[in-house]
Amino acid sequence: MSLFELSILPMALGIVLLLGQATFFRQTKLALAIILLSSAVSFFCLPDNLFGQLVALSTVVNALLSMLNPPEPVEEYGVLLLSSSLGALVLCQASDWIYLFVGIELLTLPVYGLIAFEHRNAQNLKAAVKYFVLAGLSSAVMLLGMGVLYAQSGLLDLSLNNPLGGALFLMGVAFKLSVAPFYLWTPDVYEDSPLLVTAFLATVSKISFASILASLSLSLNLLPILMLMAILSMLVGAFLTLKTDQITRFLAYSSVAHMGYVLVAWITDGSVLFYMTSYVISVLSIFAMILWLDGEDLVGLWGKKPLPALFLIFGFFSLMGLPITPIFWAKYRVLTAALVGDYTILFGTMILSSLIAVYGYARFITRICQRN
Amino acid sequence: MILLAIFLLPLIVAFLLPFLPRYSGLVSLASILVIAALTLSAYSIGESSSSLEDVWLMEFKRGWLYFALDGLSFVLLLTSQLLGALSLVTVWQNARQQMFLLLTLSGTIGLLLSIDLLAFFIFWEIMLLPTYFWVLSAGKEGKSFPVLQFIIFTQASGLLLLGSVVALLTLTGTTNLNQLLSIELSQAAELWIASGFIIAFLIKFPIFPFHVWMPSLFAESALGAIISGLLLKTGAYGFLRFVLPLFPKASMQLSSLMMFLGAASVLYGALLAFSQKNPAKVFAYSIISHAGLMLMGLFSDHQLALNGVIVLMVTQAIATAGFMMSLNKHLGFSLFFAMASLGLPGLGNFVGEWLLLFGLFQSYPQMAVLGSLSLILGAAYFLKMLTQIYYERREAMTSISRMRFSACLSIAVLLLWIGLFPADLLDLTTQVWREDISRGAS
Repeated sequence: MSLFELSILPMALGIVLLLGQATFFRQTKLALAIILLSSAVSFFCLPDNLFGQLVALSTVVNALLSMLNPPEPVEEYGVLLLSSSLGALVLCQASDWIYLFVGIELLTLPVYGLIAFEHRNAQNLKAAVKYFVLAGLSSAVMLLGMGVLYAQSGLLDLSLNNPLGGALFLMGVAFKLSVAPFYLWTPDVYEDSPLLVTAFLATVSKISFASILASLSLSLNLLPILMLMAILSMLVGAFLTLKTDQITRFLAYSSVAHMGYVLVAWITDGSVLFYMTSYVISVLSIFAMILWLDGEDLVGLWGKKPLPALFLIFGFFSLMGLPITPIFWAKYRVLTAALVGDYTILFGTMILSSLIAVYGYARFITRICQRN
Repeated sequence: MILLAIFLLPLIVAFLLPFLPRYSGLVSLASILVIAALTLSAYSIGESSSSLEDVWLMEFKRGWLYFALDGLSFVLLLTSQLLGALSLVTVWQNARQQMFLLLTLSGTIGLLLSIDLLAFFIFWEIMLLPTYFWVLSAGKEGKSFPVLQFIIFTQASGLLLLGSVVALLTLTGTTNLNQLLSIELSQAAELWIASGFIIAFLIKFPIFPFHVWMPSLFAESALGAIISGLLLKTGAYGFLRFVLPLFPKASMQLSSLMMFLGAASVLYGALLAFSQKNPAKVFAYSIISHAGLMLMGLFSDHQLALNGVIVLMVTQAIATAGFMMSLNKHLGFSLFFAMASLGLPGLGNFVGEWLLLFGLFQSYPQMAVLGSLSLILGAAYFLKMLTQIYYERREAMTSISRMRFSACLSIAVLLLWIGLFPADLLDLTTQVWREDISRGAS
């Protein structure tokens, strides 16, 4: 059995078990245990793929979070969740275009189902349709890009040697990463999806698409477009965080800015993996706390429940980039890499965008600490 | 190791405080006294053991956490510990605020000891955290605006500093001050990086166009005033420690701009102080006015003026703390501290201002004339404030507690001592100047 087969085995097994369980006897706790166990085991089956391990860990956290308030019926939910994570694992290890595309589709198709899981909820359905149409379109564009690349080179290896194909492919990736100007779906889908699924979208899906970036080598004729997208993303994301008061929308806009930083990390060789890891830690701590609080008002949380407030504050400070939080170290590395590689514009924009976004994060922090 | 202990002790005690609600005041006071004793002993050990070639009296190094002690950091360390002990008196009953205070103190100590720029930056940001939370938890309802302003301005300052540190790192490959001092940068690079540092420090100083966050935060309460005394000194310290030694060419180039900003700050602060009704705000704007004076002193390229800046940093911080403690509680003391702040001869601030103006006059006579206006304007707004508080409004006086009284008394004695025998402090600061600032300028 090859290493690749071994790495996807636990999740595949988990899916089979859940399907069997859904057919013969339903039991919520057992199903949750299967989800948790298969994602935890798959973490250990990925010895040298750090992106994959990060995906597995995020799935574990997601499974833990779904225990707080298990969606009904949980077996189907688990099947969708695990198959999507399975797609993410395939994506993280993809070595040619075919694996890559299969991984992408396996990752995104179950997400439509996850978003619309409570199919009587009109909001969720709206989000699902929006995501379905736009993600389908982006997959098609991506596939067209892959086709052009293949037609040009006749090879299936991952390289962006044709500007047109590369641009089309990157457009699709940018859509999935919600990099400006392809970010418009993000706030709506984040807001209208169930929180659990939003947490999944914000972590697993982002990690795996970032892993595509990390496994591709940058081609020089795409550099201007990429830099433009990174700059736009950083600025647009930062400005939009100032506007909104709704926390999931806010996180969506903040993710736009942060994916801009990830693009900078990729362009400048500043460790995409490190940035994604610290981003996922921060975002998960926020999502976990919102889910745990179950819709409670954030105003004055510090006085009522100090522990979740502390985690939320940690998450916001980290997204803000305050020293000794994870994202600070990641940003520090990216900034250094940007200057070493002589990308002064990216360096300056990154500082400017962090500065603009401070107000957005600080507003949430002051709200949490307020007395009422 | 002593240096690490000076930094860690308040940090550890701060986290122990919630478990000792009854003795929190005593425990925090004891910890501050212990670190003050440790600072003194570190200084005396270092002085007796180090030779003339040694740059630092004592060092501690683990990766980027690089602590070192010299005369400048010694003077400022003792001042911040004194301020910490004094503000403890105002929050004697409140364990939570004592915790914030000790955390801020620990951050300040870390900042004053750091010789590595990365560590300096990290402490620069972290020392603000307790202040955020403190002002938030003490602030009245719906008053989050000053805090937001504070966060935004300080983060802006932090990001500029981060950018400059990263730029310096990529150009030179190190963030260690010892190594940086021996590396010469190109004119343009130096100018860019120095501007980042300078704006970051000007925000915290605070100097005229960047001062917006400060008065409203300062007016929140007496402890806020003292904490911001701890925070504000770090701006001037940054100039003395990093900007002047590391960027001598850029400092020369920018000195006329800095003179202009300083003069603007002196006049602007004084005029706004004159129009304020709230005494805390009067003091806030007087700090801005004096900060302008200090900025002029820093860029005057004259040893006397730099000595004056250091003396003024120390005396202004403790005189302000004394005034905020005795306000509406003891007429005599508040009069005394207001007089000290307006630069009455015989008290500490006078020595600082005099030295500063004297040094400034040697290199920039016109600027010294403008700067000396701060003495006259200072007298005007402080006296107006005192008349308003004690003769026109006649606010009810509350009695002063014995602890506050003794704290005020000790500050008064200290100010008198510096004012009457300035040589004791000047010996220390002259040594400071000779030791490291000249190193960069030469």
